[in-house]
Amino acid sequence: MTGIVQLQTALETKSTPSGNRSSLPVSVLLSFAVIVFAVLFSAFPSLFTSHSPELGDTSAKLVSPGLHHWFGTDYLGRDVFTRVVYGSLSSVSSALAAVIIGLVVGSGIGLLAGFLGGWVDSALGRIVDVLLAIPGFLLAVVIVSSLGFQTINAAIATGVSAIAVFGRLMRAEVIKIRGAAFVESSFLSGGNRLQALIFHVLPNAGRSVLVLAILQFGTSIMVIASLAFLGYGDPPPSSDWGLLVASGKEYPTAPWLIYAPAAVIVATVLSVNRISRWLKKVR
Amino acid sequence: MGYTVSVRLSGYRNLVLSRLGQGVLVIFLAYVLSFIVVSVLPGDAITNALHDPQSGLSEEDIARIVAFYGLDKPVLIQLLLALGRFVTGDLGISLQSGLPVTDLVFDALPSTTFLALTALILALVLAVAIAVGVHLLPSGAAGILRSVPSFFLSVPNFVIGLVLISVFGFTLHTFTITEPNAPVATFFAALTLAIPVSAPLAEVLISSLDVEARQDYALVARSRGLSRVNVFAQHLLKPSALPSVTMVALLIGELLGGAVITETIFGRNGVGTLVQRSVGAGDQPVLLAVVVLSAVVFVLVNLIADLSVPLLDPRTSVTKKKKAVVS
Amino acid sequence: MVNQSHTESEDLLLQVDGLNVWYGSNQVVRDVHFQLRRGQALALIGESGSGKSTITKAILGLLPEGLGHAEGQAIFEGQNLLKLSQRGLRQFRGTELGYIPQDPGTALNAVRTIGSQAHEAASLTGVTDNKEQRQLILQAFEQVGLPEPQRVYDSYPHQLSGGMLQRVLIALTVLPRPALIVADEPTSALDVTVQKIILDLLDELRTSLNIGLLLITHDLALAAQRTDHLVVLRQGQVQESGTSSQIFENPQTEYARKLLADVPSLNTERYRDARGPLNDSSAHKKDAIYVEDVVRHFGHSAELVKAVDGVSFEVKRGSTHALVGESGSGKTTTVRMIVGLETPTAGRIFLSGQDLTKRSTKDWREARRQLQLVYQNPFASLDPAWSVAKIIAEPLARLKYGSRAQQKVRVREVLAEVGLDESFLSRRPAQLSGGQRQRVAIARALSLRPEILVLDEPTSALDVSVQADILDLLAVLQREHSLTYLFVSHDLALVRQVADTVSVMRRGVVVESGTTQKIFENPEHSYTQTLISSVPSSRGDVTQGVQEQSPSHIYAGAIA
Repeated sequence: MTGIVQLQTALETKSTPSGNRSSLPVSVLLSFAVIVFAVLFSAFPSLFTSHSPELGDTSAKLVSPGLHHWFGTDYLGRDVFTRVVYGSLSSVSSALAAVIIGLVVGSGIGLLAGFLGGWVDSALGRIVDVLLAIPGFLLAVVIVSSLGFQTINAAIATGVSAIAVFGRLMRAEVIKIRGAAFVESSFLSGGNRLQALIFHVLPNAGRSVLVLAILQFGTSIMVIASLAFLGYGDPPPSSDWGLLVASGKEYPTAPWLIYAPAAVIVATVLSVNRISRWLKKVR
Repeated sequence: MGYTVSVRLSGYRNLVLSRLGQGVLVIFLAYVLSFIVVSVLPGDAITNALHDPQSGLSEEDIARIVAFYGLDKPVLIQLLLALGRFVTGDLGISLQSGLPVTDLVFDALPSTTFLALTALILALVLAVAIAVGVHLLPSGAAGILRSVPSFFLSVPNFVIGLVLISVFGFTLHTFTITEPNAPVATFFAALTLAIPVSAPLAEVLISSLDVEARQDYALVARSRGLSRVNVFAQHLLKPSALPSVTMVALLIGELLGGAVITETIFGRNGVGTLVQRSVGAGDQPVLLAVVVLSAVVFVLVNLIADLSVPLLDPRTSVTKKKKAVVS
Repeated sequence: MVNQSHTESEDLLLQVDGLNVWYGSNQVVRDVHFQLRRGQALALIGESGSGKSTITKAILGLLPEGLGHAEGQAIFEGQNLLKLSQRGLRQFRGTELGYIPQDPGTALNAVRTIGSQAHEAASLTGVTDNKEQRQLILQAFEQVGLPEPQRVYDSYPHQLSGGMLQRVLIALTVLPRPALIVADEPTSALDVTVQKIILDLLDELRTSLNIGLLLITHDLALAAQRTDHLVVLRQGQVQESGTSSQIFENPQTEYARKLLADVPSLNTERYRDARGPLNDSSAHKKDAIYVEDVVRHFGHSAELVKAVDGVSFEVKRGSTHALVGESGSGKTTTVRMIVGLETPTAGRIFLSGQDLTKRSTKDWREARRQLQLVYQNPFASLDPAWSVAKIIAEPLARLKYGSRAQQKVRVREVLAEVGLDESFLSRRPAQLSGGQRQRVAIARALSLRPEILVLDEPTSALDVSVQADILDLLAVLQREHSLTYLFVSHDLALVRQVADTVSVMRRGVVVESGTTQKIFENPEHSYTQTLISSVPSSRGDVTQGVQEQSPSHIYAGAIA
């Protein structure tokens, strides 16, 4: 489980006080708040809404947003905010699963390629080239069509299409760090290549990989939402964010059916990207 | 001098040959990989598709297709058969319509190519405008502009499309959604595709401009009395553009992937909608063909980019000189 | 404060008064003042963080926009440069005010030919015709001693050497005949022999064209030799200013005195004093290091690089042997072979009489206990993710030195030896200064109690006063633990003082070898002679003044 090791080590380096640490910018605080809400929505949806995500009030179809229905209601009279809240779990957790797949497989490939070099590097390099050559979204579509239309398969497909990005970054980082004077110095201290890899290369590469993983989490939310939008995720009445937008587009007179879930997607991804950028900057 | 020129050329020729070889290998492997994805993964989509009563294929058609793909034979044999056809340029028969896959794809191609090229141009214009603005506008406006790519990256393709349709189609009536191939509708479809692509491009441009502007030579050029605009135009632009060439090539895939959603939303007929229909019908040979076609386009474009950068950049010696670590 | 009184004098070129510079809310330059006359040279001297580069950028109006902000007066040709708009400044830039940057390698646009950039300078002369401009450029190239001006004109920057590029830059700066040239460390990126040529060229152009030269440097010896006036800066403030000879003969401030005392080339006995008596017991012992006809080639047939091509020398136990050479001489490759980071193509290396070249990996682990390396750049040789305690303990942990508890004790012990207290244990490299980092690197190298330390330019990345502290520390450690040092350096003035024996390398071979005294007083090889004569040392009268100064306060601020 190299990916987990990296994540942990990356988190470790993050939490240690170092260098010029400035106070948290407001935008980053706000971003963290959005993410906390997204996680809470997923974990305890019933805390945030008293409506049912599946049963509508037929007397209140297509009600525009207001105090009673924050995001309005849909064509069956279901509360859109409730559907968004209940859709968080699969939207967020499938993106997380996708990132973990991409991170573990991709970083593993990059690590081996960068550290071992030679023919291993060439062979793995070609695999990464192939994955890069096929447009990520197209690859995800083909995989999900082969595996079957379910959100979990969409997550797997998204993860596979992210392997190349992680592989490339990890390889570049490993090669950069492998040549650093402090790695060489660890050989002079009597260390071997494996020790250099575990104790020096991984902790130092972990940070950039973590930054990418967070960025990729945002991308995965979008890709999975796009797959759901095309109908390649769990079918209704499930309420994946992308699926909500797709069903909303049938009712041009009720634009909130599109805008409300779309705004949630954008806010979440924007927050994730902001945090990733902030982490990249803070040393 | 004559000698060094010939050495340079032979070095470049070697580079071209090795990159060509790699490209062919990547396309070949892409085919194998997608074949594995569509044939070996669980879920016997092909058989299902063939026996789908809606497909309208007769028993004879089905028998013909089964024999053609060797569906009664082991997967390895199927792969070899498929590869054999692939090298001769035969991409097989559609399971849905029984037509040759090549015909289907090439019918859909012109519309998508036009859309993608328009989008590419729009993306370049957007990216350059953002990057130039960031570098030449006063710091307040530049700061806001700087966060635009990050915002562009956070909005899914389908949201952009739907918002554009809702605002310009339904509210402002700039175009009608029922005529997807009209110039204005095409423009907005291309814009949908261009916005997410412009963001990484703008970021690369901004950061390489940042790097170049911090270099000593920019300072020296200013100390020679050049204005900021002149330093920007005469000194910073070219070295900053070089990394973007590579980036543009890498983003070609995004354009092709994004076409699936964009064409669906705007109701255009093209490779994207072909993919969508084929996924729905489990028409794997068509999917396989589109994937390989995308890989070919990607490999070709990147080959051109990789081979042109050394010619544009005088620093990268095209002879591969190995520099030893010497004190 | 020593300042000239006749300020109204006609040939006054630049007068700076009450100059303050801020980066954001952080004031980096405070109340700086100096004046420069036509045809004269003035040096701004200081260590890193002294604000010397910031001052020149403020004068030229090249502070980073939106970040830097300058106030005060910099009167040039009747105008206050600090009050001028960018547009106003452009009238002066290039035509009246010339600028020569530190690193010629990055001062020209890499993707444009030198000729195309030269026209920018040529158009400042008022000549508009392309052919005439080109003629001017080629003449200017010839004037600064560039061979084949036409070829230089057609070249891209990466096709020329650093010395040639600096000549190009000087030629282009001088071309529009400016009244004042600001040169920011113009030679610090160049080898010592090239440095001398470039400085001679600047001197000659200054006197023949009656140009004022504002020289920014950290190198006191160079300033003493090349300029008439000095301004000593520290943390953005003027410590002392006056004529070069005044300051060298009679420095008024403590800082200037220490700065002067720490420069090896101005104080030929500075570091020799700190060393113990030269070893005399070494004669009968086996050599600590013995290098025999070592060769290291890189690459293959057509593109073979002979980095090291038959090098032999020996290092006596308890002594300091210096390996001297300019960039490309092969000294670093030689050292890397000795510590086992490179394998020799041919030849043998002995460590305390044992042949290293035939050793297995396991034997190498043994050798590590005897031999350790201190890197040139302490910013790269310490893992940024590790704490100081972990860094120093690394060799102990890898080579199984005692128990965990014993390792901990040893870490504290060796940390104290390099002059750092226990509060440093939990810090990370990013929280340390350059000097502190190098102390940690030395502590790591010493943790296993090796007998031999290889020091690869251990002070070249450090300021002169920090360099002094590290060299004093190394001298103390050598005396206390009877260490053997292999000292790699390009600084001959320093080598002269710290080394017992010297090998001079050039293009992969040792051109001359012997005791320090013999090499410096009686160099046989012409290259050694050139090297020694290129070392900037102050003019005769000045040097003597300094030498008289030195003994009394040498040790005062040395151990910080």
